[in-house]
Amino acid sequence: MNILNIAIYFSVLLFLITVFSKIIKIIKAPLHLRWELYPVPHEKGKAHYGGSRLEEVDWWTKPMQHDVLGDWKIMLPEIIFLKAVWEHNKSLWWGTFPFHFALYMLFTNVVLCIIAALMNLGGNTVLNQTGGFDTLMYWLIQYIVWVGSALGVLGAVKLFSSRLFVPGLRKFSAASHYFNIILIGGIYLTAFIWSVTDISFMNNLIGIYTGLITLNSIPELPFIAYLDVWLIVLFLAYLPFTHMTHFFVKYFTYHKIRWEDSPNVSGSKMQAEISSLLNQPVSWSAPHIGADGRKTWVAIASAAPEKIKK
Amino acid sequence: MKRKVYNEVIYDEQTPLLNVPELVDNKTSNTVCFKSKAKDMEPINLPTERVPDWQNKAVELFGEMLDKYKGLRLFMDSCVRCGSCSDKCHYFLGTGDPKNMPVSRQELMRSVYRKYFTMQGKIFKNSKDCVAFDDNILKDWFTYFYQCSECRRCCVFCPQGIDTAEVTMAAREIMARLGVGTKYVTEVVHKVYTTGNNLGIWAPAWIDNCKFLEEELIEETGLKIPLPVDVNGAEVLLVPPSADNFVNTNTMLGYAKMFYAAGVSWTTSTFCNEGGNFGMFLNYHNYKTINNRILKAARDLNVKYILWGECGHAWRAGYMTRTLSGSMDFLTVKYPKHVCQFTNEMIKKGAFKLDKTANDHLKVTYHDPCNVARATTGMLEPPRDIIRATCNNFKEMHPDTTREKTFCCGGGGGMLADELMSMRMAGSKPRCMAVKATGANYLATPCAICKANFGESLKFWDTGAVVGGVHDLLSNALILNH
Repeated sequence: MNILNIAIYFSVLLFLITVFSKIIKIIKAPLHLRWELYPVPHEKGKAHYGGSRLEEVDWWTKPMQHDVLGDWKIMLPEIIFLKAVWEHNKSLWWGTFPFHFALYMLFTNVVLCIIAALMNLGGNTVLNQTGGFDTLMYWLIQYIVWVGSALGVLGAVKLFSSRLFVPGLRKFSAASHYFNIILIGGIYLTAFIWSVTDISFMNNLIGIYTGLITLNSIPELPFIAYLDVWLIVLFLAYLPFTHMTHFFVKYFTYHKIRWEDSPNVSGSKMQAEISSLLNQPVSWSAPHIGADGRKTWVAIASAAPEKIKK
Repeated sequence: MKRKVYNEVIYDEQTPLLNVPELVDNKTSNTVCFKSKAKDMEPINLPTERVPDWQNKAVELFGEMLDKYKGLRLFMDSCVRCGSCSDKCHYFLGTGDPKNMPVSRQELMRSVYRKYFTMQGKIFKNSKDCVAFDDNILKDWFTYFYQCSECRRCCVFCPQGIDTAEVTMAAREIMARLGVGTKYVTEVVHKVYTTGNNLGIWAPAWIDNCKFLEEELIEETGLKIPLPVDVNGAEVLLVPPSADNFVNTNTMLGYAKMFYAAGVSWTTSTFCNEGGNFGMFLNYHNYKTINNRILKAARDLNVKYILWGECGHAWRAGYMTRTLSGSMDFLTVKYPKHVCQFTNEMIKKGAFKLDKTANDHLKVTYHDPCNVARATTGMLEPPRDIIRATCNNFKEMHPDTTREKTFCCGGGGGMLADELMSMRMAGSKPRCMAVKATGANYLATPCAICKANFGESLKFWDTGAVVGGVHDLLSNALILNH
């Protein structure tokens, strides 16, 4: 194993551990205040006009009508095509869509390359191109790299120039945005150059995955390939500490906050959870709250303010 | 010029309905709320002056809130600054100040978050993106977080689902606990604890107003229609906005006639004659404490259930009662209920005789208060159903400005202060332009704050319309039995 192997393992591990620990932290955080934002797409018969079952008289006596596909009808176009940006900031979409779609394509390629490496280890290398599944895999991987990285480069250029030259966007673009675009754009660019200049590109690419799976050193690579892989290592180690965590945070902002409309009905698990939160001792530091570490939220909030009591 | 037609109204795309204004840096940086006074801060359990070591205290409070409020942490972490929200805020559309773009408003808090709670802040301590909590940033917080009406419109358009309202609430919470509040909001909260309502109407005056309104009703209908106060054992406790008793009295008359016609006994409480909850615009502690008063009034008067009156943020707080104040199981109706739901239910049951022609002099359009529509319970149809049942001339506004996309009136979120008049008028522009385009002469809305701001802004923007409640229309159309 060489240093690049170790760096790749380290970055993947760091990525996974950090992302999962953040997810666990979010899940363990106290229940979010109960105020969903309408329309909630899984409200059957209501979402299409923005209303809710709470419009109904005595809604708590009626069964909750759930449209199981409702959330997906919104989320799939949103995740795949970034629909909200298309609708609300179209000029940015022309950059951000190819930029993100390229990421999806290259992630798909990671999965395909792992399959190809396993086939390789099983003695059926895609490099043989016998005209069957191996040939399909070979060209699929090749084309995805070409198209994905080219799309990514175009997206990065468009995004970078939009952030730089559109006054409204430049106002709230930070240095980290430019850095992220350059970093990810650099990954796309080096991948594209590598794929079109290296005559052993597929051999090298599958070789990297085979080496990583078997804990062996990865093959000797051209300089541009090393640059690409090192940029990916940096990206994986860096991503969980940035706002790019939106790729999983978005699940929680939508499903656990914005659309979380489970009713707080009598005898429900939620009511029990809220009661336990209301009965927590308050330890907030501001003296005016009057918290002594023993009084509960209910006790403190139910008490009239000191001055009035007098 | 591109034009589109909606409801037979032709809209120029160049009309100032939704046009993005030119950016003018710091245009509203001097439109600042008056600072709170010690006489109001002390009784509502807030520090009367900036607490010692306030910079570090602010960071400590911020950290506490990140652990307690799931939403806040997610919102701090996930903005990609795509700009989808930037032209959705009515205050930005009205003023052009880039700090009124929701993304920039959030950035005032996120830049502090980055400084103290992220790897970036630890490595690049002097980066422009990581801002220390000092006098300058506190001034910006005080200015721009009190130029947000917490209407949640921007969140509807955010691809990441970020809610600026919660960011604003968190910033205001931190400021309040440092001893930094606005005169208007803290004064109102103080009044609730002393008089029971936002307007500071003492109990005798409340009772007197009710008697006066009863006399009005006798004069108008020849009937003794009661406006009961502190009646033990009544079926319904009505918690209206106190403005309905004092300013928007036609709405109050509408409630009274409605209960009379429905044959339902009701009462208001002099302990808690206010649905509005300005705690929501200040800090969570007062938010909860004020909300608890409603349940106490219901217990004291032994009512069967509570109805919230025509007030947007009252309903947002009221709907949260089971979360803020615990169980409502001592009531027959164990869940919050809005007066529009109740009235609509009665209309559908055929409980009322209605003469729609009584409102024929009105061309009515409807404004969805943010807190009744998208921000709580998605209640869009019940008020519309009441209007349809009581009026012949009802026309919707442009769909980009109604329902979940409705614009704030410009005065919500604790911004109804006199010193913010220019912001209120600017923020009201998108809504008023949409009203004007319908040619309506009556803007119906079930919200006291909307009524207060539109009272000025509909004139300011020369719309030719007046504002009123939904129950005002019912009041006109109800045929009462002698």
